Amino acid sequence: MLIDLSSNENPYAPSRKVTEAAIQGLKGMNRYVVPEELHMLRKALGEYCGVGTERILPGPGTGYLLERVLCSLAAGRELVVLNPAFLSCLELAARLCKRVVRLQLKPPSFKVDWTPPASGPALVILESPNNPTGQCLISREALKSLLKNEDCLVLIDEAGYEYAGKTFMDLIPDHPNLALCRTLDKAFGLAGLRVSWLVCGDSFMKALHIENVCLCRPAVRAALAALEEQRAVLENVKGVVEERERLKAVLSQLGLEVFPSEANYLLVRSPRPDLGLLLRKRGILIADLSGQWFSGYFRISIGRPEEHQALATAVEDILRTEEGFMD
Amino acid sequence: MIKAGLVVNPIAGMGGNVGLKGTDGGLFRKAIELGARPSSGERMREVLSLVTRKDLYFLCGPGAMGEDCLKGTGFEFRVVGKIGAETSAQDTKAVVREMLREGIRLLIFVGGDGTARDVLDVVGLDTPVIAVPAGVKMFSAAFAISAHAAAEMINTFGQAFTEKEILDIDEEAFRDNRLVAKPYGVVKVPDIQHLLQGKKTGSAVQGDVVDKKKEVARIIVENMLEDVLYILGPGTTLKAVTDALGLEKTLLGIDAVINGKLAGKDLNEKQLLSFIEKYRKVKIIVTPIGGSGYIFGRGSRQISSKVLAFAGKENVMVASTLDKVGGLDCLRVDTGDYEVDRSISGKIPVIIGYKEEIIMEVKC
Repeated sequence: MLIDLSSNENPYAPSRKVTEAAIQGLKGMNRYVVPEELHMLRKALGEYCGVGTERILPGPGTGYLLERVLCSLAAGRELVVLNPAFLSCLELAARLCKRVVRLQLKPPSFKVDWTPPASGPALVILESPNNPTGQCLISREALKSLLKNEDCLVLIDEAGYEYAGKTFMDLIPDHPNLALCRTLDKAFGLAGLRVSWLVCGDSFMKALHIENVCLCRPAVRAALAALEEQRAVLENVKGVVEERERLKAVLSQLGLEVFPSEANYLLVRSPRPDLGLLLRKRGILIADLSGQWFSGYFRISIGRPEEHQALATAVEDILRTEEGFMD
Repeated sequence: MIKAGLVVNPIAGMGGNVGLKGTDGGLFRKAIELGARPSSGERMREVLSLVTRKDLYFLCGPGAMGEDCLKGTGFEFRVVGKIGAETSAQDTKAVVREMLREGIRLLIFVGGDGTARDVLDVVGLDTPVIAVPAGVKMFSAAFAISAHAAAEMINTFGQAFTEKEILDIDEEAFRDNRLVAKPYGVVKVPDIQHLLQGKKTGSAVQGDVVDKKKEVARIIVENMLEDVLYILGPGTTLKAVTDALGLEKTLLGIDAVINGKLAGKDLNEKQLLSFIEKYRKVKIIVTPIGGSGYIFGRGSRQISSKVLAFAGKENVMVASTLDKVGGLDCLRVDTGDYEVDRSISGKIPVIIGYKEEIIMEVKC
């Protein structure tokens, strides 16, 4: 059985109550979701974020929501993202936007010059905490400065908000050109159901048909049940964060360079650029970033303690005993 | 059964242990005098010991050129070609040529940059290769990074491919502790990166490299201006541009295009300057050298500081694929004229797809 530490998933399944809510939803699957159910979800998500229901647009996954934003707002704009980027919408963006511009992230500081490279209208999409560094790379001041230009729309994916505990939500009411994306995929453990949502500033609200929500009933029911269990989620997050720091210490001791992270994953640099391959042969999958970024850099999702034990044993084995061409 | 070629350069790497920095040009005899022992065969045996697939049938070079490595491994094989007591680049080329005639689908070879160039001369882009490093100079990106990586390429061969650069390292300069490298060509290599993608990371890899080069070419051609001379540097990325225009490209040289037609081929600095004098409006398109990121001063010295000074940074365009440029800290320029190098420095967009760019910093 493969230990998958490559996809930033929550290693723990949601509670029985959430699972039962999803099953109840399945029982009514011959019927479409009714507007009342969707309104309940939008209301609950709005309360969770501390904003009005009218700003909430839920959808089946962040990728879907980003595509909706692109379809409505990309024309004539330059899309600015960081490199590496894990956005499934980039191919669509290249078709819809004026151009797609990546800003190269450079270790070890990962400092970004947020002076907009775009000369005209732009859409900036970034993650906070950033994927794959796990660090919050844009300061409040830098963001406010970007938002001063009304032609520059900014969408921040806060998928890791629960782990980092940092948000720009309070900027939403006063900044029409800002939107945030949140998800129940990570801390709430609903990755298999894909429930994400946008919190829209006024410009996003106007452009997106916010009443048009695409979600299935099991996802809506599970999401509502999960949002009632925030205390348990916070406990889970606390455990993941503690485990992250334990793993960071272990991997550093074994000889990997481990970067500070505020997310549910760690960015590491290995002296062996084939670490991903060697781990895969031992049944452990981590994300190899060398296809679009620097060789020897990997992202490791936080898993269960026993998975980390297996990872540490394998890494130790590889770094101490594996031979190859690395001389 | 899959017919695979296996070639060992038995003298590769012998210069390194005795401080000769290479065995090009018959220096291996001196290496032997100094006590060097062959090691490339061991490398190949190490790789073969990790190969698990059973559907391979090998065609190999005689004796030390491959046969000795396969004996006792359990793999079926047949020897092709003949060699004398001492092997040469000509032997490598002749054996590989014979293997291609016999219809191999994959060529596995062990050697250094020199061997890689010999192999490339024969295989081109038609047959995928797995390059096992055992030379003194192994700067080409085509080389597998480990025995496991090479074995994994063999084990999963047939699923996905990518293109990797082979460099021409000046051995004389290398002995003088200077690294002078220029692109020599590109080979097709099995892509094992796709094996390491998790469930949601499909977007982390940039699809097929060849398709991406076509995208790069498409946007360049679409935006070509009338009566502007386009000077095209070396490399397959820019060959895609001439392909899109239906023109022929000097793969390792500098060509010039104006109004969709070839203005000059394989141009030197003097010819470029006279073209500039004639046409006045000029744009220069180059691609960075993999690994080092040089855009000027290595590999395309014909585009000299004088040529660059005339064109100016605003008329320099850089094109690449993300798998190459995304692994670079910065782009570099070293024309020998510091003032010109400085004028090129700073941020520059690199075209990496159709309407896709990455902002890189140029350093001198």
